[in-house]
Amino acid sequence: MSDPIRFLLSMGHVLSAMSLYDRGHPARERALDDSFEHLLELIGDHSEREFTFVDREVVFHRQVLRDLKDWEWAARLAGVGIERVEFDDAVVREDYEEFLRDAFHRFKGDGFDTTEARYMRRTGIRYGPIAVEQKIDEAAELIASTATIAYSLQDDVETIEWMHQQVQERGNLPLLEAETVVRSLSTAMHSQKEIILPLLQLKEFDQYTTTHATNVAVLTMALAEYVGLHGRDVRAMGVAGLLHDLGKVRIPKEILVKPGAFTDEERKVMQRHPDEGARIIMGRDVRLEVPAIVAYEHHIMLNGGGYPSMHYQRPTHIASRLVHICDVYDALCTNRPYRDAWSSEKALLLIEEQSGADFDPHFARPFLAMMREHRTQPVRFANPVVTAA
Amino acid sequence: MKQPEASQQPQTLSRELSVFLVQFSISLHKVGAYPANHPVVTESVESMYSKLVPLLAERGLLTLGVARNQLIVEGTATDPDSAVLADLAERLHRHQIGALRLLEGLSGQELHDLLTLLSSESGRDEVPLGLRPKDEIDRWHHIEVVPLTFEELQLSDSESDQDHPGAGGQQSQLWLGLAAAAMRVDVPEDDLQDGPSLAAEDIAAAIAENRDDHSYDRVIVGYLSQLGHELKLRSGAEAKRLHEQVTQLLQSLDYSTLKRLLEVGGDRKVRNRMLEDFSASLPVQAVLDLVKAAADADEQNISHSLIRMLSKLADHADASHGLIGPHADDGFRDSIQALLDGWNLEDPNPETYTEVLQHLSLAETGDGPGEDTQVIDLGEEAVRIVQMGLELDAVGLTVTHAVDTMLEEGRFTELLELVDGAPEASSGSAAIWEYLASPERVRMLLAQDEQDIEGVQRVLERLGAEATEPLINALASAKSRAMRHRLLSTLTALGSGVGPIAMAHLPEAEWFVQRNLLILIGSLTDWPEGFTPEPYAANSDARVRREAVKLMLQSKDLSMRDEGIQLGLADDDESIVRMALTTAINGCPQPAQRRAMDLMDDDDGDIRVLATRVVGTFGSTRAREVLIQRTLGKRRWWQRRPRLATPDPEMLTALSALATHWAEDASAADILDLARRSGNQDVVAAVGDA
Repeated sequence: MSDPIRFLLSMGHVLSAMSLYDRGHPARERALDDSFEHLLELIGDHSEREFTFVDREVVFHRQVLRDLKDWEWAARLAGVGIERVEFDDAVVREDYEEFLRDAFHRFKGDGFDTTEARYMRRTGIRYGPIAVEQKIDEAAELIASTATIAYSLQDDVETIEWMHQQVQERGNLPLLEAETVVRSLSTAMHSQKEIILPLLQLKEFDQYTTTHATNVAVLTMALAEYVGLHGRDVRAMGVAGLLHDLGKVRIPKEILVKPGAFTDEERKVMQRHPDEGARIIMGRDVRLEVPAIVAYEHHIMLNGGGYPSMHYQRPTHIASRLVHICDVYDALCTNRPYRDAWSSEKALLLIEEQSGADFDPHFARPFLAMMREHRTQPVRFANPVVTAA
Repeated sequence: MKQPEASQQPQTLSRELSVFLVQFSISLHKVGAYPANHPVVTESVESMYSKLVPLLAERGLLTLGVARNQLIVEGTATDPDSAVLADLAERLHRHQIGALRLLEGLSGQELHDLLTLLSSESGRDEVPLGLRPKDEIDRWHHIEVVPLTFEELQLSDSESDQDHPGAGGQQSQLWLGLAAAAMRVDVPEDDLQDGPSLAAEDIAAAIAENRDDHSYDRVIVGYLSQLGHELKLRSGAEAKRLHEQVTQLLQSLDYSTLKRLLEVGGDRKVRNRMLEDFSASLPVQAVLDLVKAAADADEQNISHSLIRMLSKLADHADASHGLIGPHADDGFRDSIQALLDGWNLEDPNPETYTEVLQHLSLAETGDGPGEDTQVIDLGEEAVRIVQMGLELDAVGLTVTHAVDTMLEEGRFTELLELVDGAPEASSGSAAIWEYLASPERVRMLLAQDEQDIEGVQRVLERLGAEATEPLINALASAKSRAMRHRLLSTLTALGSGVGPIAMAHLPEAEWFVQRNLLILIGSLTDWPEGFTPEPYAANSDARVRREAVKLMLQSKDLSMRDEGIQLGLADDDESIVRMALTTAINGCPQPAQRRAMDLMDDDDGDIRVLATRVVGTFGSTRAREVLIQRTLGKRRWWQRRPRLATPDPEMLTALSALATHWAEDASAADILDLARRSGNQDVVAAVGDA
């Protein structure tokens, strides 16, 4: 048995063990150790270590591994958006375990968790779906980035940071400021004849929360407008997008910025942020029903997967479904420690594939159309000023 | 020219000021209509003077600004639809007076002089007071007349008048009025030779110099408020020019002056109305300055971040071309409006919660269809919000709002199901119960057309005696007998605590409520202190009397019981009579015995039997004779011995009574002997072994 096959079989063994045993169980840990050993051997022997899972075939670099035809994990990995895995020299056991845990959670239907920003460190594993390279699109994005407007988002970004600080330190949610930021973002979106989407690009990982909040607000307003909502509804959606991750201010910083995999306990704490966000918003104002609902439900998938688990079974609110798409899209298109930012098209393909399971098709379809129709306007976070061409 | 609607006025004048102004108008008419020394005039001027003196004593100075058909007094404009006040304003305006300043110490003679001058109609023969020589205008020590010059009106664009026929340049007049009022203070006389300067910078400088006169500030703010309102409503060349002038004025005022004006120039309502008007019309930078000053004046906190965001939007609104400018402008003005709305609201808390909701519901329904119409019906999400509150253990304003929505939608049962099914560890259900269990809530639930009585019952169980009042009210309005029965049962179950409340409701209640309340009181272990059913035993409605008499008959107080028997036997309602007779069997008071005997001849057979039983207990000779008489039939002329009457219930009852109480009596013994030998089983049974 060649190294790649031995490694993949061991990896399948670990995934099986994960479904049987909790973290720390000797059998599971032993399987992980063995598999990691095989991975290190693979890294030592091969300079190219990318696996591709497509149509029940397993490809190692450019070689189809015929012995693994119909290997069950290939289809399962591809089915949860892991069509390609690449390992570099720096991979450590912790990275490997985290990758497997992520895959396992996807199998369980927990969806794409946009909360984990293991900010401070890159991992040695990159994985995700594959797509045909679309150089034309990338070129179009590049062109778009130069055809810009003179509208700074610096004040908006700093206001959002200040808002988070206020919530964290004083328990006070500055609603008026949030609404004014939304008005400002709306102004930026409508600064030209056609709608443009001024999306911030993450430069430093610790700016993720602010960047993400801003982008989700923009995308949410754009999608709301695209599906036919008007005026105050669009802005209400924008506020919901802006505040969807507000609960993170109550997650201990050491967990929020932890470099590396979460323990089960830490993951539980992290997954409390929808509860916390909803609590903060519900305590603020009776006018904030929609943002509170969205903060609570934005990690719940259309098929009921995700978190938090609800005591009263019910479908999620349409605003939650709408924000959920925008949330996942922005997370995928943002640089993460374990992978580079996906291209817009790649992220859209995934949303298309998961439409009906994770995402509501009534919003996924318009979202795809909207993103392919409108220009996005990348804005650097460190100097978030969009300058005229 | 269309006037501001009365409903848009921010506030009304104090009663004292209103009365004074009305008297001013009346006096002006009377002075003009009657000879100088006519008693009517004297009386009227004295009346006006007596109303003015306390006003001046309180203020030191009273300034009346004049704006064609409105007066501006202490920051408030009078209602242009008020004929009396509009007439006063128009008279002063025809005299080309921009403002009148009345100072403390003003004498009755000075006032009389002023009225005399004003009462003469300005026209071809009379020179308007405002245009007369300065020494004539300045003739009084305690009255200052600020003239209004029309010279600058020459600049008024004719296009404006064409656009708004009949407008008459009111906006320009307001500006002139403002200038006149502002420049009158501490301005060198030379400057007033040809009327006040109309340059915005000069007006701003004059306002800045006048630091210690609150009355002055109120007049200035009054004018500004009117100008803001006009600018919001008007368009055209005149409005455009005024727009520029006001903008320039506000930008010329230094921050401390602006803050001073907003602090002392009117209350919060006046300020906010002015800000709202200006925020809709003035350039954004001017609005921003005003808002900052108002926030300081009102001790409202505006975050630095918000100021940054507003400034940014303002910058773009002013400077950006293309589509950014209008969008930024809209965003800025909406944000300012939201800020002002927030100032208008008190802190939302349970006590003011209703007001908040009212405000919100008005805000949500006031737009009509259009850009700002909210199409998502949040009402549908009430259930979701309640579910979230219970899941998250977070029952606050948002959840209680949702609870109210569910109740308004008649989904009480659904709400209770949610609460009953709450997670075990959740304290949310207790919090919602605490919110639900209030007398007001019971009142609301009981007022609904389709009452969920089981749900109400559950609220009542938690509420206890506090529920009495709404329940009694519900009892008064309940339409169905079944509902009344349920309410009565519920009230009864609440115990003796309901007694005093029931007693308090009795006197004024409708007959059916009185009846129910008497039933309720009768069901209690102890009657409330001070309660007596006697007054209701004389009620015109037999159903009320019945319950009252019943209570009297059940009373532990024997004298009340006896009184009840007497009243009951005397009543013309058969059921009451029967009730009283039944009680009297165990002891009939002397004064009622005669009536009981009479009732032995009543038309109703049951009453006759009961009355016979009662009479049987008397033990008097008269009673014995009556009973014997009842047992004997008519004797024929050929019959030497008495014979028994045909047996019927009364006869048998009388026999039984004789056997029980007069067995040893000779006259009764014959009858009893006859009965034993009669061969009739019923008769024999009636006398028994006696």
